[in-house]
Amino acid sequence: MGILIDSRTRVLCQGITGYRGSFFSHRAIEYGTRIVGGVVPGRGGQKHLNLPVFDTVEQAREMTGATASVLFVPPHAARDAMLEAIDAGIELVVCITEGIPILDMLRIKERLAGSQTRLIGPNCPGIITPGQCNIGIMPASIYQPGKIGVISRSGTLFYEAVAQLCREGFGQSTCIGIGADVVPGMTFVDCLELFRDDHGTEAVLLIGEIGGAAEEEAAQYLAAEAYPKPVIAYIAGRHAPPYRRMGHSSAIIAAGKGGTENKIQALRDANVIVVESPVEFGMTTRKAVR
Amino acid sequence: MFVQEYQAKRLLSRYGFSFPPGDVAFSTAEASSVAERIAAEAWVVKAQILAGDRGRFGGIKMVSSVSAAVAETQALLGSILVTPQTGERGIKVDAVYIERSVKIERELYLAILLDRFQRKLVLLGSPLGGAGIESVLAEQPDTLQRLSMSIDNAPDDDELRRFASGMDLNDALLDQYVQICRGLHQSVNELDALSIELNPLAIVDGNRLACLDVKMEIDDNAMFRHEDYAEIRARNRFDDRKLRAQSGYNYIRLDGDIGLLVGGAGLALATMDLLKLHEMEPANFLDLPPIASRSDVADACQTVLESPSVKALFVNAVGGGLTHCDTIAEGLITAHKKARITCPVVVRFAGTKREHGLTLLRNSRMPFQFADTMGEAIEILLRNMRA
Repeated sequence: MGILIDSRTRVLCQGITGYRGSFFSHRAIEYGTRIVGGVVPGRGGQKHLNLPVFDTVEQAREMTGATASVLFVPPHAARDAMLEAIDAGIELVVCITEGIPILDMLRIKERLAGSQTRLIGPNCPGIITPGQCNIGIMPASIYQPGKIGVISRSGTLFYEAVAQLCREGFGQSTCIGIGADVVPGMTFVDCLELFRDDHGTEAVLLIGEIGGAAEEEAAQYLAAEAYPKPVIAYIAGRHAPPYRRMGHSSAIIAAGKGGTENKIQALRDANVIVVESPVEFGMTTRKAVR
Repeated sequence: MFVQEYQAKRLLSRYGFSFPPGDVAFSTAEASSVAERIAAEAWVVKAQILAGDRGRFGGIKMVSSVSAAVAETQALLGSILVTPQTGERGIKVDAVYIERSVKIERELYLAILLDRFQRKLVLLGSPLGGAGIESVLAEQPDTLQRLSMSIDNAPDDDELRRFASGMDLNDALLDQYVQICRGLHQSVNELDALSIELNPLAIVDGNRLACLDVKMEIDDNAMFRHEDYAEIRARNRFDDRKLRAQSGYNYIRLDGDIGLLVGGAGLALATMDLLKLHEMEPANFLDLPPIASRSDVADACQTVLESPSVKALFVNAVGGGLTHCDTIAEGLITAHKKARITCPVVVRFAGTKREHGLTLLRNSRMPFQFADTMGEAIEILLRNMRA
């Protein structure tokens, strides 16, 4: 079990001939991920990593039956690459690219609203269902199959948490790096909804950080939903250096939201078990899950 | 990045905003010619720094002669301004903006920005404005109007008029206000701005809205489609805390004594939190991106060690992305070869190429101390700091 991807998921790589696209597609294939083709405009008809390369996502989807796509494209090309995948009806788009203009993401968000596509990222490490399918840049060797769902805004802290889970004997159902950008695709709430209905997931670990309101929204959802599974959370940034500010708009819009204490309190109020120290991911999960 | 007032006013000049005549001056000679060129009875000389609250902390001067404008320019240039938004160290003034003084009848507040909480573009407006706007709004929150909008389609006239109706304006001013809102939506789109704050937006000459000050942030990620931003960025390289943000990693200097070299922002934040839990103080925030190269790591290491307060260095890395533990090890060794590292270095590696990274460090014969987990690393650091 697990969510969004499994061993049957057929995956395209947009930007497969680039250094990163090539490197991580190769690694994904080694892991057992069914990468079925690549998309690079102008390279249609070629082969790369022994896979067919197509000019458009539309063609690639028709020829390969792919339902997921991972993007390793430069920031200036990311918006159009995502739009192309959305328009082609790809169900799951995973955008690894860091540094996409925020206005581009606002446009993508508006387009996603009326589509059947889910977007993970951008600026994220990807998604893995251990033992089945790895999409992105995560160090697959640290993950083990199991029953904890993990959702994280950060990449490296995510790996740290997973390593601790494994040391305590907890494998993972699916791990999703939703990315640290201001305007992401899937949010904590979107992932929590899917984990709620997944029989392979017994508990969810949520790794948030200072800024934005994604953790507060998750807390609100969990409280309203009387969520049926234990949720464990860590919020990084209690001692983050202060933001530089200029003028008043950021403070007016924040109106006290976004700080770690606010997030932690909201999560506690929603019966979430809060990890106090980043060395206690494993220990705290052990206490929450019997 | 934030842009200076004069840069913002130039960037926004195409969008129909009314600014009092003015220009930037980098020297007293330029100040004199700017003031002479702008026919006026009185001028305002404004320090150009990337921080607000200038008026209340000596950064804005009213003058009624060209010679007084020159004298105030001389006093401001090279001085350090400290306001609640500059940090304790303050910011050195390299330029002033000189503009015609206008008679203000009422100040309003109007901003357009990316709402990081709703993840939408939003207009914020209040019939009250000026320097104390935050405390004014804290006391009278009902005066704040909000309007969320699509990025591609500006709100229609009816929506904007409804938004503007809270601003206590007569018909002529209301029309201008709606036009200004349209201009803000268009300029955000075309300039890749994350926020544009007009404060004050002022009623002047009885029937005119003028933008007296502008605070503006543009999206660093959008530099590739704005050739003119490179020059703005080059000119604004003032902020030592973020000076190196362009070189492949984020660095912010802090006051503690444990230097930190950490892969990824989330782990970097968590590492700082962990130090604080054990009553140690980080000397910096630094996160290496998942694509950092050996030379990025070496450069980052040197940057951290440049701070004289560093008594120990904590390298905390989980290999992933394209930056593996061996790359970080090579970076550390390169940094040590360039300038010998004399303080204790505690290294904790996990993830991709951990073993290879550790082997490289062991073979280097440099005095590293190794930890398997973050918890162990903290214990070693504590021992070092007590010694």
